[in-house]
Amino acid sequence: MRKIIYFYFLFSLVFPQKLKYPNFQKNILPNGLTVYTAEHREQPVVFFNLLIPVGEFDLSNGKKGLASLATEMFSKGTQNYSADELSEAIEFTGGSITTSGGDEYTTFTGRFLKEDLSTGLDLLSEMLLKPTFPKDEWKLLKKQALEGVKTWYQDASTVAIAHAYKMGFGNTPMGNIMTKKSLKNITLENAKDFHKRLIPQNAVFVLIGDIETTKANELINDTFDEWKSGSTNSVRSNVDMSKIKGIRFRLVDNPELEQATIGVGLKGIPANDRERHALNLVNYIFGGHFSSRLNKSIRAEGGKTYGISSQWKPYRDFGFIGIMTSTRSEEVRNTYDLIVNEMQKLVGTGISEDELTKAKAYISGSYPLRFESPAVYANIIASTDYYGFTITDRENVLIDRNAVNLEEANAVAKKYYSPENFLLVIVGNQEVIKEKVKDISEFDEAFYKDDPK
Amino acid sequence: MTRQGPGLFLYFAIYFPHIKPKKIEAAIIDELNQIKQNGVSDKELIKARKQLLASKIFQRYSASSLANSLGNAEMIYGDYREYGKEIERFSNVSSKDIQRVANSYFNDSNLMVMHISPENLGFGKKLMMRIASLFM
Repeated sequence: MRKIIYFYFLFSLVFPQKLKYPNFQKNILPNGLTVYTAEHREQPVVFFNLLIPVGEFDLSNGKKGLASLATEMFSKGTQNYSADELSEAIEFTGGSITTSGGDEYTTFTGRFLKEDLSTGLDLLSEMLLKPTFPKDEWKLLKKQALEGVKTWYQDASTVAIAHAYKMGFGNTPMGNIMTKKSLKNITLENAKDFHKRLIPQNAVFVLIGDIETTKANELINDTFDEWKSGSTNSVRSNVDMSKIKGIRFRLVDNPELEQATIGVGLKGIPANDRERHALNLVNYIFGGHFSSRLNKSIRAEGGKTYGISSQWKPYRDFGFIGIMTSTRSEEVRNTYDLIVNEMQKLVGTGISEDELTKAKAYISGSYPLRFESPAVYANIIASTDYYGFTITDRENVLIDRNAVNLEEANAVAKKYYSPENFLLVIVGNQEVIKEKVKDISEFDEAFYKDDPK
Repeated sequence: MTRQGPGLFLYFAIYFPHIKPKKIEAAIIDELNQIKQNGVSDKELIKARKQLLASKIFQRYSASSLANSLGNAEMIYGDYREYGKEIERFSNVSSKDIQRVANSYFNDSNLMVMHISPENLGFGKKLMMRIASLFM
C-alpha cells in the first residue's frame, strides 16, 4: 500500500495535473453583468452563485456589520413576498438561496432541482431587486445582532485576531470589527443605501448544472433584465497593512483565563500575487498541517499546546499571516520563545528539498478532492475575476505550485516570516503572565471586554 | 431514527421555565393526533416529498454521504441496491399511508416523555426569563 501511495505521489509530481474545469461560456449582459454558464449533467440539479464586489471593506468607518445586516434583509420581505412567504416558497422546492455580506463582496448562492430553476431564479431576482426592508424585521434583526455581538470577547483567539487586525490596519474597515457601537450606528437607511450599491457592472453570475447553455442564458436574461446599471465608483480605500518595524506587542488582560493565547501577525501578500504558490507551500510546511514544523516543535516535542497553526489569509488587495496557539499561563514565555525560534530557523536555514517535495505531493493529492459538487466550480469561477485570476490560472494551480523551486520557497520564507518584525498579541490573566513576557519588547495594554483601539 | 431493529421518532421542544411542561407536551400530542385523524394536506405532502427528493439528490455529490447511504441500505434492507429505490419508495407514500402508520405507532403504549428542567433558577432569573418570553 505504501508503495502505491509513494508511486502516486511521485506520479503527481512528475506529471502535475491540469485541473479539468467544465466548459464555461462567458457572456456579458447589456446591463454589464458578467455571466458564466456550464453544463454539468450528472444529477438533475442546478447551482448558481452571484458575486457583487461590495462588502464591509467598502463602507465608511464605524459601520462594520452593515453588509452583513443589509444582505440579511433581502430575505425579510420583497415586493411580492413577505419574509414567511419567501422562505415557504424556497422550502417548497427543496432548494435554497443563501445571501452573505462578507468583508470583500456580497454573494447570493443557490441550488435547485432543475425542474425548479425558474422558480429559484424568480425568487433570486425578488431578493436582489425588490427587497422592501420592513421596519419590524429590521428591528428584530438588529436586536439579534446586538445579542450576538455582546459576548464577542469570550473567545480568546477572536480577541487576539481583532487586536492584531487593529494594530495592523488601524482605524479602517479592515482594522475594525463589528461591535455594539458600530451596530448601533447602522440605520435602516444605511441598509437601503447599501442595496443601491449592488450594481451589475462589476458583478459576476455563474450557473452550472443539468441545463442547456442556451436555455440557461434565456432564463438568466429574464432574471436580471430589470437590474439597472449604476455608478461604479467604489469607495474602498486602497489600504494595505502598515510595514511592521520591530515587535509591536499588546497584552490583553482577561483575569478569568487559565490559559494564555498567543497571536503573531505578519504582513502577507494578496491572493493573486506572483509569490502566492511559494507562500502557500512554505506556510503549509511551517504551520499549515498537523505534522508542520510549529506543531512538531510546540505540540509534539514541547508539550506546550494541543495545537498551533499558521494561516495565510489572502484578500484582493493585501494579505495577512497569522500564527495562533494557546498554552498554560505558566508556559506562555517558553511557548513564545519556541515560536520565535521556529521563525528564526525558517528564515535562517530555510526549508529542505524533502519538505518541499512532501508539501507539493500533499497539495497535489488533496486539492482535487474539493471538487465533489458543481457548487465548488460555481464558487471558484464567481471569484475568479474579482481576484484578478483567469480560468487558466485556476486550471493550472497545481502545475504552477509544483513549479516552485527551493530557492524561490526560501526567498519567500525569508521575506514574510521575519522573527524581528511582527505583531504580537497575548491574551491572558495579566497577574500571571505579565512578569513572564514584559521584557519581550515595549507593549501596550488592553482589557478583553473593550473594543480594540 | 431508522434502524435495522425498532426505530425511533424524536420530538424536542425548548421552552421557558414558567410554562407548564404538560402544556408543551399536549401541544405536540395534539399535532400527532391531528395526523392520526385527518392525515396530512396535499400541500404538506408535496412539500415533504420535494424536500426529501432534493436533499437525497444533493447528497449524491458527496462521496462520503453516498458511502453512508449505501452502507445504511445494506444494513437495513440487506441489499445496498435498495438505495436506488429510495426516491421511488417515498414518492409513492400517500396521506392515507401516513395516517395508517401514525395510528399504528403514535400511541400511548409506545410513548416516552422526558422533561429536563433547570433546578433552582431563583426568583431573579425566573422573572427575567418571563420578561424575555414576552418579546418572543
